[in-house]
Amino acid sequence: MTEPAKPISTKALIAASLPRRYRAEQRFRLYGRAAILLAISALALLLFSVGSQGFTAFSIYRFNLPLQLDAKLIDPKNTADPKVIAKGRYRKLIQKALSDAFPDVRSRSDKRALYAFSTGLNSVELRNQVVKNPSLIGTKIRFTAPLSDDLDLYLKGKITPRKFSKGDGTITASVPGPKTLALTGQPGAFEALIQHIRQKRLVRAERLEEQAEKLRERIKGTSKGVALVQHTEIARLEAQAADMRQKAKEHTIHLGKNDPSILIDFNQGFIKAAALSDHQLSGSVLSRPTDMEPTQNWRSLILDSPERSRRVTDKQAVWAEALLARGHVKRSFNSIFFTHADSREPELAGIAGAMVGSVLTLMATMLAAVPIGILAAIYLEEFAPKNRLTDFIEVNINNLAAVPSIIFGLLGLAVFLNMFHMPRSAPIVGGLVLALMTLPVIIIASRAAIKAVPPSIREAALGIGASKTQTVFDHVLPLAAPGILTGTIIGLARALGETAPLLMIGMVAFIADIPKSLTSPATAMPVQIYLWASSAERSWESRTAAAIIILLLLMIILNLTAVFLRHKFERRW
Amino acid sequence: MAALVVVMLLAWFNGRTKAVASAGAHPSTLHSLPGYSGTYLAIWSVLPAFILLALFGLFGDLLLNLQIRHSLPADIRALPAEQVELFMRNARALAFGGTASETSAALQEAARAYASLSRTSNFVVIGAVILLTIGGFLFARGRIGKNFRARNHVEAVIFGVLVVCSAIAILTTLGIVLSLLTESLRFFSEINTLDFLFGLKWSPQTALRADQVGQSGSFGAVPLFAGTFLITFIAMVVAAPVGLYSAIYLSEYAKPATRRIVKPILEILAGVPTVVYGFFALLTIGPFIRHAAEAVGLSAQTQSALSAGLVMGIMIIPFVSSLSDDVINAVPQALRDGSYAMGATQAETVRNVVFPAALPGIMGALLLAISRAIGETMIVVMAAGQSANLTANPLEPVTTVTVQIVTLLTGDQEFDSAKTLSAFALGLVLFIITLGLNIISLRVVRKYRERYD
Repeated sequence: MTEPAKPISTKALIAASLPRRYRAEQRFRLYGRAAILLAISALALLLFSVGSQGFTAFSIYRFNLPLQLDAKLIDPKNTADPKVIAKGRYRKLIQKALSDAFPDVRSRSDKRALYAFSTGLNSVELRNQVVKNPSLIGTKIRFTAPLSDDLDLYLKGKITPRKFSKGDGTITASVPGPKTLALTGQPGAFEALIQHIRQKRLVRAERLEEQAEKLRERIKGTSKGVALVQHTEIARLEAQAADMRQKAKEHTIHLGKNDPSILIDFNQGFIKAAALSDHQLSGSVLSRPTDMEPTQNWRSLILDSPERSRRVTDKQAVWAEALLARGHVKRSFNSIFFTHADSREPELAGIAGAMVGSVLTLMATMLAAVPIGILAAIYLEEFAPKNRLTDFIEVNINNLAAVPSIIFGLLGLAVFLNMFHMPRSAPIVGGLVLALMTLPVIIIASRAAIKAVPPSIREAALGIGASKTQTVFDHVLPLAAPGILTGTIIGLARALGETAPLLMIGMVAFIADIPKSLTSPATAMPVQIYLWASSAERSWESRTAAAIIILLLLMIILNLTAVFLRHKFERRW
Repeated sequence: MAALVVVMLLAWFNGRTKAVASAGAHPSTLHSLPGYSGTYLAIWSVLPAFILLALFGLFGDLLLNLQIRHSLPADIRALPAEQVELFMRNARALAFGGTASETSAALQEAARAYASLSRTSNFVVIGAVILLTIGGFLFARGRIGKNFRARNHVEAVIFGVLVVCSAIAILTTLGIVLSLLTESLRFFSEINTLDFLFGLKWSPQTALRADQVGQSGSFGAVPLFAGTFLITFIAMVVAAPVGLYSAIYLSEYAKPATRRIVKPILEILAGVPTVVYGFFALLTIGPFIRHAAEAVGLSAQTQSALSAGLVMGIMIIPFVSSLSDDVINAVPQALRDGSYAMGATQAETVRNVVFPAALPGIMGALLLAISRAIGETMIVVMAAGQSANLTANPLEPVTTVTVQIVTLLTGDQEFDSAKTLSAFALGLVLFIITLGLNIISLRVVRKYRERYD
């Protein structure tokens, strides 16, 4: 008989399975931790990517140049008429100030590149200054304005990193031609630069080979005609790569259009290297050195991305460096961002217009949604008879809370704009749409708060002769107020971040003025973020991120207020 | 408006004084507190006038419009509907100092009629408001007295206001349904419903001239539904496991202290505005996916279904986790204890006892999350692309229902074209789907709660 063996084997079986089961337990726990970690790191990544992009927009490079307010360009006939003064040629004045800073910039194309330092809209600012104070005409003032966004980005190192390195030993200059300069240093003076270029060329060769390899794989299985075209492309890429490898070995490096720019700072001037060997360098003069004396104080500036693939030319870079060195360009707090409305020029664009728009919209939302929401909650919680209609209202409210926000936008468009002919892009319409959207949130929160007031309060009030209405408004409502307030604030915070319904009712227009009333065209912060995020230029990116930072801060403040109120006034019964 | 407030205050004080006076030397014999008499008087003097003003503000313009339309010359009334609409718009503009796109004698005539009618109606309404105010005041003042039950009347009005306020929720739903339905019906009278629901090609541009090539746009919404489905699917692939495991860990394993910290952090994910997620997808995740795809030899664009789906998944993690957390917590402890008593480990208990018991509720939570993902707009507008692309490849840009609604309705639009109306048809589809999901999930969750209460 084998029977007695059975219980022992079951026990052994269990014991044997225990390690496996414990491992499963550990694994399960690990999955849970991993999930939480994933969610939190996603949040961290989000905040980090926004934060790191955004904080550069809080400072801006401004130029500060002496500017002669030439009467001939403003008010040639000396009329002192404000209308004439307002029509002065202020753009020309700013351009003159810029070219005065660089007297040796002569050619038309160079001048145009130099004038690009200041956007045309800066002339409006100058005009306003002069119109306000006509006595300035004929005098010399110092004019401060934001540097154009591309140069701002360049100086912030966002276009390509500005890699300065201090030079070794003394270098002497000789002048072989009118616009060229040759520099000679001690042996090995330019070794590091040469190594850098070689390195870059090898990297580029590798990348070309990779591309060729990828193409080669892709043409397997394509038709012959296509393959033929691809083969010539592959051959071209490989020839380029071979050429690059060859060039990387050159003894004397001749810099081509795909190489980084090497700029040598020599006696306050900049030379762009065209050819360089171990201790000799020749190149074109981008800005003239003050003298040709040998010097130990020289620096090299490497801009890794090739000149043709960036928005700032070497010359512009050199001028910006010169202005920075002279103290005519300084980095300071970007107050424009907080005081201006939207603009076509990134350096003059600000969030103030959108902020005011958001405040107005939210005000309309609050005025509409808060009283209606609270009164509806009171009715449903205190007065409503339990019947079909009440049930229907409840189901309705719960469903409305989950309707996509864009549907509310469609409602606003069809009812407020097309039926009642309310103005497009107006905060009042946006506010009403958002009010309909936040109404369910407020009602649900208020009902919870009213429900939390114990019945004994009501009974006591009724007992001393108060009517039902008096009980509710004089006793229940004050006790439920903190809870209602908390729910309301959270609902409003959500409305503050809402974008889609506002797009539907036309709050996406470009609006360059700060809105003044509930019916003037406006935009709101999230919409402004959307608009900027869809702009192509690089400098909008950091401004978008900065606007997001401000929006998030506002929302955090609102939510913290809610949490604070809850902690401070919450009563547990 | 300010005048109404002044009248209200005056009436309040007057009513109060009269009530006090009527009681003579014994104010305590009054039926209601004197303040109620004041409120009663204030209500009667202001509310009727206010209602009239509000009605006029809402519908006066509409009535005026109809009136003028009827008085138009016959040849203009015979024009097609859009042109009459345009004519009316121009007449309005001329009458109220806007800019009209054309001027003609008939238009001038209509504008003059418009302006004069609007002036007369304004006078009539102002007169009526004054009459109503005085009449209401006198009527109510006559009734105030020692035994007048002012409080009951005031409370009846308050009750009415409460009912009206809670009816606004119904009105909103009604407004949504009606506006979507009427516009959609107009759309479906031009475009075949079946073509819309099952057509494979979406290119909603309608031509400016009738002889233009491809002048009739095609409105086959299947690519949009497919795109929506693809993105929602990717989002749920991210959010369902992460959300569920977080909920299980938080409710079954985590210490109270950890829970107190982690839960609010997860909720922050739900509070971040969607436009911020869109920016994140566009600038961080999109390029990252493109580089990653290129590194393994695939081609991808910055805007892709994958980047939008991933980011949307992150956004709905907290919806899944906090709803399932509630559900899991509602599973009675006795079930767990029974399982432990049988010798099960904690993970086995969760997997074989708690999870099956919570399954209906969890399904409800997932459905709610899906409906949220379908209705989400900004992330997909910014990160998924605009081209109607019928594909299952997540690396390609796709478009969704919400994206198309936004692209069709932003910017300049004429209101009657099929292009604009199609946005409302899409909205209707979206509304029906999300409403259905919500109703099902709310019902499931509620039924499940009742089971264990």
